[in-house]
Amino acid sequence: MTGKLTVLEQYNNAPKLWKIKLLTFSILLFLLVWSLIGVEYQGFSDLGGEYVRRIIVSMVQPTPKYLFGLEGSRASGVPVLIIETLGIAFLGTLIGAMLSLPFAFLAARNISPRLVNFVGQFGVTGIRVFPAFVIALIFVRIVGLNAFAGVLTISITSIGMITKLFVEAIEDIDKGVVESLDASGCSALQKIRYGILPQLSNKLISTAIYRFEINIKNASILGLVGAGGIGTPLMWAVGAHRWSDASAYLIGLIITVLIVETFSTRIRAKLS
Amino acid sequence: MKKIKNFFSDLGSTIKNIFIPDTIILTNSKEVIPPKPMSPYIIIALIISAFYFIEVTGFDLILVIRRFDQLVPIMGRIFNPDLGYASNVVDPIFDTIQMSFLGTFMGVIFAMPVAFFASSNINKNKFLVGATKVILVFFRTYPIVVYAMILVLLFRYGTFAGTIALTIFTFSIVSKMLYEHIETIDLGAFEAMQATGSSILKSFITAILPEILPAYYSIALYSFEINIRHAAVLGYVNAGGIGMVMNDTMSLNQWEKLGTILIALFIVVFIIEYISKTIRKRLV
Repeated sequence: MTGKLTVLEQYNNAPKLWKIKLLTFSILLFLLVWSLIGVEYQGFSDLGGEYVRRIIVSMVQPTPKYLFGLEGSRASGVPVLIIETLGIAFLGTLIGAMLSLPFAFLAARNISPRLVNFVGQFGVTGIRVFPAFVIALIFVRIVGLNAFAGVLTISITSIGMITKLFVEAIEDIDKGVVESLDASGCSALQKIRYGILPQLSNKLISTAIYRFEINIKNASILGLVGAGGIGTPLMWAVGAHRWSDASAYLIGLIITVLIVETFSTRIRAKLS
Repeated sequence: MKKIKNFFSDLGSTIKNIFIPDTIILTNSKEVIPPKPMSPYIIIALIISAFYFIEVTGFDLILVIRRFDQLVPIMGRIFNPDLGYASNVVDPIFDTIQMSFLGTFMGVIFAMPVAFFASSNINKNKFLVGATKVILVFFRTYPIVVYAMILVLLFRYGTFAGTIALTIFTFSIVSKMLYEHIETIDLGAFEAMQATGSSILKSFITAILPEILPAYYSIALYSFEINIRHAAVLGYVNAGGIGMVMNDTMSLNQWEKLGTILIALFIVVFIIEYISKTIRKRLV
């Protein structure tokens, strides 16, 4: 039938979308106007122009003392702080991934019954309600202003996304492999070792690496509340308007993020 | 004695087996050498780095267990929200939604032309592609909080600075996702249009744009979801929205009020994620 349609007939048969387009457009327009009214523009601050000039001038001349961690400022130098940030992200991702595994198996629809699924999903949603900096502030109160608070925060905030991706990996498992292992007389342990793990491991590792990449950025933001890493001195420097020092920390952070991102993309491309 | 000796030699061969697998002799007496596995080395490296980082970050599980009794009252008070505070939460929540919407809207609009320049399969000028990508990397790696802190100095405290910070953030992630998407699509129609003599821009609008629009809308909705969550942290640096109220309640130890704010935030995030997911399912 379709082969006999002329171009004009085909054109007339196309679904008429103008109603839904008009509706979407008007909703968007309404939201836009509403937001424009809500967000108040107070103009530049009195010293705004001066600040921008000073920031740009200082940003291009980072403090070498901090950038290379020269003597006298080793502890607050970029190399030491970057290692600490990497440590926070690494341990946080590792613990987050370990905590996510049970949640993921609970929330996977092809493994657990519906009721258990619901409990697993509910637990993960409950954790995701808390914004990262609220969790960080709570942990800072409990274990103090140090990198350890950062590790704990990153582990908890990673659970949401890692679990979601783990669940997708588990739900993608080809059950045929497990059944054929069963038919050839393998034990439960062997079925997990040869049937399930090889199917899962690549995706799980890939997820963890991806989250590690995100966690490095998050770890630097957590410094804002004093949870360790390069973020803390960065925020102090920005807060005290020491732009040259801030620039040194930012350069260190950007280079680290770039290196990790490049490696992460390569490894994940190999894994998939 | 012999048993113990056997045990150790077994253990030795097992360990050796992990690193260098034995050759397998098949029934037709053909020898197969399994590939040398990488994973044992990686696992050892991971364990060593884990111990090193535990040292660096001062990781101390016992401390958490010992101080767990301090966590319980805080959580207890958060889960016992002071609902009378709800009327103070409504305005900042709406501020946050408005900031996020406007930030997403502007960021997404700026992202499209930049993604056009950054796609290596459309833009044949390698230098321009590289330069655009490098600039995008800089935009992406700067923490959003740093933008917000600088913008607050420039535009005074309040929602406008937050909106601009979210615009920059949205712009940087949406452009990346968009050019990565454009680089994977089929260029048949685009090349056909170019062969008939239309300009790059015209063939892009006619042949590529209809193909990427669903993904573009989907990315926009997704970044709106993320922005609502990010907007919370912006308040911490006085860039407007619900975060400012959250910060006040936490610094005054009013955890019941924080509980109310979190409930409100949860409802908003849930509704927006639900709407966005429903639309995105129909788009793709």
